[in-house]
Amino acid sequence: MQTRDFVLFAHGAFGGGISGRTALQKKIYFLGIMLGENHGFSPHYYGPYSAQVADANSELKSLNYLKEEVNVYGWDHQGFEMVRYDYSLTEDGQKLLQRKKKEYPEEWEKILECANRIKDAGNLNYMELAMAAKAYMILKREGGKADRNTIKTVAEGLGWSIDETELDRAIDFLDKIHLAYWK
Amino acid sequence: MSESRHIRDPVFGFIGIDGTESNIISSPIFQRLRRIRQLAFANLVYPGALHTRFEHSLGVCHIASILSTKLCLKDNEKRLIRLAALLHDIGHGPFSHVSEEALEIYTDREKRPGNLNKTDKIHEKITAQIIKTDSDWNRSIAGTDRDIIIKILGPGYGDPLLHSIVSGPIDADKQDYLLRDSHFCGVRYGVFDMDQLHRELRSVDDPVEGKHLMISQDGINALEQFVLAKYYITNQVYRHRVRLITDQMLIRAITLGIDVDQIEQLNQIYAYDDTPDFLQEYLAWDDSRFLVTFTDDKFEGKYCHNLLNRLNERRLLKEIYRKPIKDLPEKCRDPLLNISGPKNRKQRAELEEKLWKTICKTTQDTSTCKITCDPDDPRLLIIHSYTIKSVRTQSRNDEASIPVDRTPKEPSTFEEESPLFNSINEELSQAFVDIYAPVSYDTTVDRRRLRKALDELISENITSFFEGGKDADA
Repeated sequence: MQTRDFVLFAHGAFGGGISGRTALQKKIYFLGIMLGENHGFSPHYYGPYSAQVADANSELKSLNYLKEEVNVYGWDHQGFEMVRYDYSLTEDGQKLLQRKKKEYPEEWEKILECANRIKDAGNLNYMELAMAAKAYMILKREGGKADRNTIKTVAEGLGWSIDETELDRAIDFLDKIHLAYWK
Repeated sequence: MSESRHIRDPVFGFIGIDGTESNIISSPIFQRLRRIRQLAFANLVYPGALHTRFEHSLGVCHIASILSTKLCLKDNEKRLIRLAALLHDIGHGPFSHVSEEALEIYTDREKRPGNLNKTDKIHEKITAQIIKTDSDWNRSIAGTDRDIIIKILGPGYGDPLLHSIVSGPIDADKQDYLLRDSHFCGVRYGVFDMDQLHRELRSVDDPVEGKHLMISQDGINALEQFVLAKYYITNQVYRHRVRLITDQMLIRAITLGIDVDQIEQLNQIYAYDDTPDFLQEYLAWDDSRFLVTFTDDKFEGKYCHNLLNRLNERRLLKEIYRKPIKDLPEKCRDPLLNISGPKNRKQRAELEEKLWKTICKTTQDTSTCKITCDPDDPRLLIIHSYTIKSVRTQSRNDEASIPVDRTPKEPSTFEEESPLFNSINEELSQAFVDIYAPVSYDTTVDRRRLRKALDELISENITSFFEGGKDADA
């Protein structure tokens, strides 16, 4: 399945759109892991990132299948606006989604099921999703098994300014989507 | 590294190379890069653009060396990075990126030659195969070093920092081609302050994934300049209208040469498998031999011969239609953006045939325009779709997430720290569909008249093709 269709299905499976660029990247990253599809993700200082996914999202916008809304939610230390990019499928996008569902019914069902597992695992914000992605990287490095303290120690070493509750949520998330096997 | 030779380079002055590198550069396989132009037929727009993959490879090696020193790599890492940079383009075929597209079409991915994965780029596989097996380099590069070089070029060796020097958002490859392509094209779009950019680069340690490339806050303006340079040169040179046409003509010359003209020699260049025979054949070709061979009289009357001669004589196809894809009806957009893909060749040919009839009729009705091929033959008509990314989109995909050092605070990202990029409003990328046709006209007024006459007709024909409806009459 080409990345553009995968991204379209991801928007569809998460209720017709995903809020926030980081959340978009991380949700699609986890969908890909769960379904064994990579779609160009590579390690980044801030966790896995795929230009291929960003491009596909951008293509959906340029074809008017996806609408992007910029929402200001505060100001940074330099006084610049902090914005979140919210995406939603347009009417044309919904039509395309329906056609693609017929074209790839099995793939759609699988993506929908995985997206539901991600949703049911807790409504994580973009920071927590990024943390979960990093925690998953640590787990992989440890051969798929690690205790929570190892994850926390490495996360602290990364300089994440987070509290333990947030990290616990990220770890629980991995548990619930069945990507983690704890010692 | 002890430099044993210095090569004069028009962009960087003297480039120092050591004995091992000198041996590699002297090998026939590396010398072949002298005959593969960096920008294919871009010289038909920018006459100076005749530079080759050879000098580009030397330039990348030079910049990779500066970056390795700046980022305090160990001597052995630096040696291997220099070799990886020198060899990064060794697998390019005739006309560089045009060959990549042809390889994609004629390689049977189902058979997985060379354990080719779905996302692997074939020319990178060829590069790895050359590095691994070339016997000329036996005495120059040890087998273990060859494996490491291949891994550095892919993302599989050591810290991500090593890979980012040869392949990353601000790698040595991009830095060289921006400056070099600007120099030879005679434009100033790709110029940026390389010294300042290098001065402000750092490495940051990530306990999970290892060292990454980072930039200090004083380097933000130089990085902004780099991003803008890449944006301008992409639009003004790499995506120049004539460059798009010449690349498409070359690809069409190859596909018609194989599919219709049945030229077996061509098929052997592009049907990749991982056998030594394929590699030997592939490496025997370069731009010069390709043009001389397939414009030879013995191929007279063949499509391949016709298109290559047109390129040689600058009798180019004309862009007769250009439209943002979003301006076409919903059902057309998704398939239209895929139309240039290797899997959609049959559909593309059908659409081209349909459009050709309309174009011929309209052109015949326009006394000032002429068809320059057999009007019953639609094969020289080319429909081509592509996207042009906004500067913000381009930068977001590449440089935006480069960490910025804010010691004693934790690092931020370039996207957050750059005042310039913060102030640019998000702009949509645009997807376009172009049509290139064998027509001629005398003046720009005639050209405009033809395009105007065709605009609505072509849009209607495309719509009816994808929606299934009545054809628009010319």
